[in-house]
Amino acid sequence: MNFFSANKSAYRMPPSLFVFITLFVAFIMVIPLLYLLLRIIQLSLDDLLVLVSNRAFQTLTRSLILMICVTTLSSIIAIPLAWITARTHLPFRKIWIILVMLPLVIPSYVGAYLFLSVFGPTGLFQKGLEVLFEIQRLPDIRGLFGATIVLSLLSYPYLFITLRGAISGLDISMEESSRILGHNRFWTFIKVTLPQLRFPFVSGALLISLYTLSDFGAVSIFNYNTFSWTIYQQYNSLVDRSMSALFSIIFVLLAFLIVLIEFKTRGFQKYYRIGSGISRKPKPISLGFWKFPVYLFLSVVIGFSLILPISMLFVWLFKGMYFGDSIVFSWSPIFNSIFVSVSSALLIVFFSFAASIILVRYSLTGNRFFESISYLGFVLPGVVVAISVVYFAANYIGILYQTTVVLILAYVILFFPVALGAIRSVLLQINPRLEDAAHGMSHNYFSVLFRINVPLMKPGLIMGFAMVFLLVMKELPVTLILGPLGFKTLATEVWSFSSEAFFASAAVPALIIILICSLPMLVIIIWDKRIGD
Amino acid sequence: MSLLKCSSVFKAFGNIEALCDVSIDVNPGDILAIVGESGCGKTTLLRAIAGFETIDNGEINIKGQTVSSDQIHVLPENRNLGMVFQEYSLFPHMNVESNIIFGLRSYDSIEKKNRVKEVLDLVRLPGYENRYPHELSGGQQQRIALARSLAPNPTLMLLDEPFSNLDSVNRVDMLNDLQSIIRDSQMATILVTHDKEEAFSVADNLAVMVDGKINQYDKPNEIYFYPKNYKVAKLVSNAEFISGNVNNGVVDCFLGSFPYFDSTGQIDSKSEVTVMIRFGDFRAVYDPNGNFFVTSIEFKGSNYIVTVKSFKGATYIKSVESLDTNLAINSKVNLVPVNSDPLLVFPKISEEND
Repeated sequence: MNFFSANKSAYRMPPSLFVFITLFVAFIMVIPLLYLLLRIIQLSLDDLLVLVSNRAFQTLTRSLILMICVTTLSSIIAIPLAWITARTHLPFRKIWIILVMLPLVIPSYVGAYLFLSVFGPTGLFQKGLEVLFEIQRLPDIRGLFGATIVLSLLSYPYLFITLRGAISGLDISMEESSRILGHNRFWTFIKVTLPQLRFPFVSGALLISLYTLSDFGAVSIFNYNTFSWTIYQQYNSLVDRSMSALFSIIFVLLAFLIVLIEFKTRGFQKYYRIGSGISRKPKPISLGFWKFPVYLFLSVVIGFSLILPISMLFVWLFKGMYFGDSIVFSWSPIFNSIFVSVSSALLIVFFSFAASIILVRYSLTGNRFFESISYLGFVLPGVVVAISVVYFAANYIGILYQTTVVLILAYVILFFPVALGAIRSVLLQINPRLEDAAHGMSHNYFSVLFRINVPLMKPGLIMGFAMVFLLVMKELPVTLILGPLGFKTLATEVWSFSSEAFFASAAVPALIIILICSLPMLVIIIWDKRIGD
Repeated sequence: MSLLKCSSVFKAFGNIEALCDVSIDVNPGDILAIVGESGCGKTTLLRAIAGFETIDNGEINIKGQTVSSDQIHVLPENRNLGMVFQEYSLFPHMNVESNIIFGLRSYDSIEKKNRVKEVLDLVRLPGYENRYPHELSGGQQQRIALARSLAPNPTLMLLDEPFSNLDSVNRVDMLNDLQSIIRDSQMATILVTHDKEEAFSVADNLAVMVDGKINQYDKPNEIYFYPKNYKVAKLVSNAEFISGNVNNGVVDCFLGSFPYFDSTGQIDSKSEVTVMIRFGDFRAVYDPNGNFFVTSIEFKGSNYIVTVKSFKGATYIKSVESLDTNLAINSKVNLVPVNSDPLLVFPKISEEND
């Protein structure tokens, strides 16, 4: 054996199973793109008129306005929260951090229907005001206003996580330099701290923008027509599905544009990576008089994003039981939900493991291409993925159409990037020489994988599993479109009950989703290094 | 009048006494080095002077004005000090010019430009105004950090381990540069370091800190030749410590009997002591009946460092030998003193190797 090339994994042949898996994933990832391309080729002149129609323009503006509003409001919530939990002497800090992250377990359609039931036209709040102050009408919260509030309250944790991680990773001597150069705490924050948070802010804001654009639940309940909701309605109308395809094209272009803007900003990233990291933890700032406004702020955020939704679910449930409403409950949606969540999480984690080995350990032609398409799932909205998979399955693999296999394939497209991100980052931290050393002790390839890589990559594997599980459990539009006839999950149950205003019946599956999702959420909080202190 | 005066400063973090009765004095143009192992409190002292730490007791005076006491705490931004951090801490989103201007708030724009040029000349990086920190090498970043702190003409310059992130080649260059930059600017400076060579070569005065206390505060050569106690001696020298007995004005140890000097003033005329054997105090001489043998020979370019060990004990003694030495590994040798200078002795320490 050539002694000097022994460490270069690139010289070895990659395991063909993993190459096959990677190619397979790459193939399913491009399905939505192929579908859209096919649609573009088939465009007629009339279709092009639809693309520039008033309706398309309105949908575009509505989507953009909602996106900007949600990103702004989430920033207003997340920036102070991140700073307070990273830098101040907040009592029970860990508990507050967990509480402000937990809204991630509440699906947007659940949050929206609960808000509607409290603050809506005949909601509890209005009834209370009527009894107390004889106020007959409240401004309608449906539309932009309600959608902004609900989506911001449920998506700010994405920004909170990235910002808090960034703030605790900041080099404190940077701020101290500014102080010793004569700038006080306030100007130091403005001139030195904030500029360094630009990059993490932009990536957190990107997550929220894409989340808002692809959201389906809240906008449908608040009847605010964005791309997601319009495409779904078009699709369901069954009259002319080409309309939904056209809107999908605009939608995906818009999403790509937003990602492009983020990449432009990312170009500055290198400015923020000098020096050898942090040497000293900043001393927590004592809150003093500010304790009360801080507690108030935390309580309002957690109250509206977490406590209100969950307690309302109980209110509806008990009210329903008290008045003897027929609460429909069956076990099958629970089994179905857990079945699809667990099986797609397992499958996606396995795929990501294989793909990350290929991507990180071998320099194969095509790796770069695969890397870029593997992030498509981040950009592609659920409804678009769903209709393209339907088209593909119905036309080419008729046997699988209307089966859970197709449903799980769509989840792979959507959530593969999430798991790949988590798993790849742990593999990157493992020195390949460890694997070489094990090979040197005459273990074969798979033995090394299972005895060296799997144990060392455990945090990433668990994290990837937990995230995919959580996302599939909450997922709605893909499940609605691709689920086999009569296939009910907890998510679809909540949606169908609440859209018919059977609030008590919707409360049961909603509570079960929140309960089941809290487990992987806690796993994520515990394993994510950015959150620990 | 002294620029900086710390009088009996105390500071504790919980149960740990970081600063215990610390008093120092810095006069205009002085360079004071504070040496000690990590965790000895030297950085805490520097941060207390800068205003990043409050103090529990005592007083810190800058130009006669009390900036820290148990009652008073002037904020760092109002102390008019300069500080260079271990990690340089240049603002990554600003170019060199903006970094330097950052501290020049009361200057108008022409004065700012001129001052930037002045300090860049001083640190020998003229024309670097438009570079960004990530485009600079470690040594250059450090000089810019120094220029940035010098620009507002601070009362006093504080340097926190400024060389620890540089490789050894850069270190020597920077040390020389830094010394001449500081001398040129006539800026009073406090340098905190764990590296004794750094401290000896730069400082006018040296403070040796051990466990939050200043154990010796003197000129570097005084400290080198007359360390006040065992801990200081261990910190500032390359030496072996062996046990011995003093009796009738001489110290007996396994190397023989020698005159001794007691810099601590605590040694009775007849007692057990710890003897300090400096690197090169003894020479190894070939002797077939010798009590020692050579364990290693390191080639150092201009000489050899020969390590010898006695057949009985476990102490290794190093000697400096010229290039024409005939010694080889396992050669039997005897150790003879290089000169008749007295050996330093300290009260018996239990932790020494014997």
